[in-house]
Amino acid sequence: MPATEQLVVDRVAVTVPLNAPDGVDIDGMIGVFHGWIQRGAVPGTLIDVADYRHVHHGPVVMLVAHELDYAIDLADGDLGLRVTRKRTAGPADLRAAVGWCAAHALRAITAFADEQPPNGSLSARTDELRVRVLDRRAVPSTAAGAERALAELGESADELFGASGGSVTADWAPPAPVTVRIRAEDPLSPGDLLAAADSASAGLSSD
Amino acid sequence: MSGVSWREALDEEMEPMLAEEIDVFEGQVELRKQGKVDERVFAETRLRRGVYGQRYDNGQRHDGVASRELRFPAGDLTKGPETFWDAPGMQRIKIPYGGVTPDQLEVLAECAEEYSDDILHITTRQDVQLHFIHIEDTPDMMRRLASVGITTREACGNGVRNVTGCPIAGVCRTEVFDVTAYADALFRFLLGHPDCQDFGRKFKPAFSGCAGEPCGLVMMHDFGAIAEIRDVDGVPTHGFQIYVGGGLGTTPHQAKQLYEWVPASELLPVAQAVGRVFGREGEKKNRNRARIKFLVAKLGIEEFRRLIDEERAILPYDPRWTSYLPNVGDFDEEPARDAAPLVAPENAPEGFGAWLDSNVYRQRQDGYVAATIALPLGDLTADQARALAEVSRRYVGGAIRTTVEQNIILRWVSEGDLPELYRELAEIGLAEPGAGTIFDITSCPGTDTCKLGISSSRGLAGELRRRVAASSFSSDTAVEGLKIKVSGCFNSCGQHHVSDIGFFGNTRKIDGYTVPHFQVVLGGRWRENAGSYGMAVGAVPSKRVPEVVEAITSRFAAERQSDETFQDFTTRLGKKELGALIEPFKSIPTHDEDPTPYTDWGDAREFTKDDMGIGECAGEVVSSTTLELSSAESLSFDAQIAFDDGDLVRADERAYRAMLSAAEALVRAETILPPEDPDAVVKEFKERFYDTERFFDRFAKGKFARPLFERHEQGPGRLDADSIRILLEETALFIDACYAFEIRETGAQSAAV
Ligand code: SF4
Repeated sequence: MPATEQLVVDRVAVTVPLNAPDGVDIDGMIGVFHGWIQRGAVPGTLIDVADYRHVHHGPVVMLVAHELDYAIDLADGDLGLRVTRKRTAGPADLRAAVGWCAAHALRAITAFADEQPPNGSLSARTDELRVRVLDRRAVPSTAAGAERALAELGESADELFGASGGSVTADWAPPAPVTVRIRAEDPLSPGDLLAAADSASAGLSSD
Repeated sequence: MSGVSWREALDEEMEPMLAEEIDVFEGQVELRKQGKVDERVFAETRLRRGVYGQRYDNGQRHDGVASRELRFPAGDLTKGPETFWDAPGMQRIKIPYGGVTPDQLEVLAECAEEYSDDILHITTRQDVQLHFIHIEDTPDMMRRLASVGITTREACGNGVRNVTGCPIAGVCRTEVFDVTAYADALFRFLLGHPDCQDFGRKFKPAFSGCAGEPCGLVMMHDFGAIAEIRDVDGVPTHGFQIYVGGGLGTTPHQAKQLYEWVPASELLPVAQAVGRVFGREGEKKNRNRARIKFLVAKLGIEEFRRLIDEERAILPYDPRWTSYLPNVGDFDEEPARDAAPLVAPENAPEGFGAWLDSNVYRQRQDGYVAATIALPLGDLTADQARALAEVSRRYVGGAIRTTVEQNIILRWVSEGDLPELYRELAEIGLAEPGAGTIFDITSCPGTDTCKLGISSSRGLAGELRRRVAASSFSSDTAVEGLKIKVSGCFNSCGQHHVSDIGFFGNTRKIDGYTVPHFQVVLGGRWRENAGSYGMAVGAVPSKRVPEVVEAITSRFAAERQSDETFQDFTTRLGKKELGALIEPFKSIPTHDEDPTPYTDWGDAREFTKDDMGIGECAGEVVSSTTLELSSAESLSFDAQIAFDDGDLVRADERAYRAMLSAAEALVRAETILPPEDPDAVVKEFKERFYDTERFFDRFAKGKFARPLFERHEQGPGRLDADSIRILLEETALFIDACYAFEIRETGAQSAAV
């Protein structure tokens, strides 16, 4: 179902699942993110690292910036890198914002290559993106809100996984924020997905 | 609902007074952005709304190599002295006596994920804190909270902070009576009370249902009430022992008994009298001496009591003092499920037994228990909070309380439901055992987010938890019951003084480097409402603290005599012996040999103190008159917006309210006014300032006050654009004249810049 008008949101989070062939050193992520701040390895006004390793299925370790947050995400119990677009950073249109977050996450994941093992071998899994729309004013936690988001994100799936075909499913129950999984029929390479995400976000970035 | 603002969407859901206060605050945010409110005034304004600064908000951060500037998009705009506008901040949310409903928990979860970092943090005073929030998101967040009856008003700043109380009040086996209704009444009575707006520092009240247990921690509070029933003319009467002047911080004071007993009908007037005396006599300039504990110490409790007696005698009667008393029973809770005995399940879920032993408290009501959810470092995710709300609805009908040990308690659990409840909590990661034990470590935010933090209290607490979980310390049962509390600095927000084993952050120079340390404080008493404070025995490097805990707990396990408590044990050993016990842990390798001790827990950067900022705990001491005039300006701004939107009725009403508020600000500085009484405001203003010509300007005389009198006497005039435009100009001139008057009278610095 095509969306009728732009859906403008303040906050949205996109998680790109991670491949961890050698496992992951969660404790070491604190050092990784501090290093990213020192080197300016990822875009944004990088402020601090928040340690939530003690919290069950939480953001685990976060790199907090003014425009966005990067987080090692275990919200589903699955390892991923989550990027949350905040307030007025980047595009506000939901589809473009999803592209913007996905692009930031994919770029950040490439920065793991500079790290020590096992985190140095973390890479993006490109068969799925998990989108949480964190703006109940724009997308309330209702069936109607979910339907509207699904319509928009169905178009995102086409934009991101167009060639190979993408599908969307709502993975959510109220009063949680509307959450949608965008799945690829055939995963793209990380580079191709990044190019598609950049194009979806219309080239806008936080920096 | 895209396109509909939260203000419009929630208009019907909020108490009108809360809604208006938030509108005013939003107006002040806008005025500050335009540079029309002084940064000091704005800082105190936001603090009184619970909007607090956070580490790095001065735009500087040490990244482990060098101190770097954080360049925010809003540039030099500030929200307080050395506090950049765009820098993320903390929102403290008052949860009186820790009582929170499932609906409220869900809205808190929404706020955490939409404005914060997905985490709800329970504080050592039963509040909820959200971090990394942008100042411009706070008005909408407050509206959402107000829609479920939560206010952030006076959560920070120099006012009455959250009223804390026993989290098991009403179900406790040792309480004299349930203090909930009285704590609630005090919270409502003091919220925004005119007699509590001119404090030099914060004021923390607490309630306890009995003297022997720790839950209320009355002895470390500015104002405390302990339940006691006395016979009055043959009638058993609810009342309280009243304490004042307790507090932790650098110089901890045990509270002094103000009254041996007062009946419940005297609770609110006594608190009001204390507020008045503290506001009048308390220190205002030196914030380090401005808490009420210093005033009580300076005057002595007898003289302080004399002043309170005197003040109480002249307080004008207020029906709210007793109007709540007939409804005290409304706070009685009904269980959601019938009581049923616990039948030990054949295949009990893994860990159930340990959880049952440590986390479950048998209520005084047969068949019911209170179950503690031991939150690691007081944190839970938005998803967990939402799931917990749902669980609590089904099992306990929403009877939830936060605790000063940074946990959550579900009350009224039917014993028969425990295995199933445990299973459901385990699914959402909220069934950790060890509540109230050495595992359940309390910590302030420390260097994670606090501007004053010296060492990483949360990092240390997290590490100690991991080691307890891994059984690194003695498993002696007496050790298991010990409490560990950690503060990031001497300000004691982690309440280390009242812990068996306490730590607070400091530093030492070693090998030419600044090294994070913790001062070790032993033998504080948690029971008897925080009955005595621990003794400092020396500082050790942060990274060696786990060894110190191991040494102390092993020695206690090995050498304690029969039923000796930890307090008695530490007293017996004495400071010298305890100092010797930790002495071996004071040294570390040189930086070249091993740089690890030169970093802090949970932080990969080499340690520095460069990130410390100026604290906002006390807020700026800005007069309540200046703050209220600033609110009046915000209303005037609101009127202008309504005018620009073509809403002339609202513009007229807002302009009138703005003038009334400004007049009220000046009158309140001199006398007490009944609440919500425009006639009284105008009458008092006229008699005091206009008829006496005190308000008169050298050239304009009383001209600027006349629009207030006319609008008040005649009601709304012609609602055409020209008339309203003139009214708006007159309103702005009247507020300016009020500022000028304040400066003439008091020499106060104008909020207008
Ligand atoms: S004790 Fe110190 S570091 Fe901890 S919250 Fe209080 S002021 Fe901040």
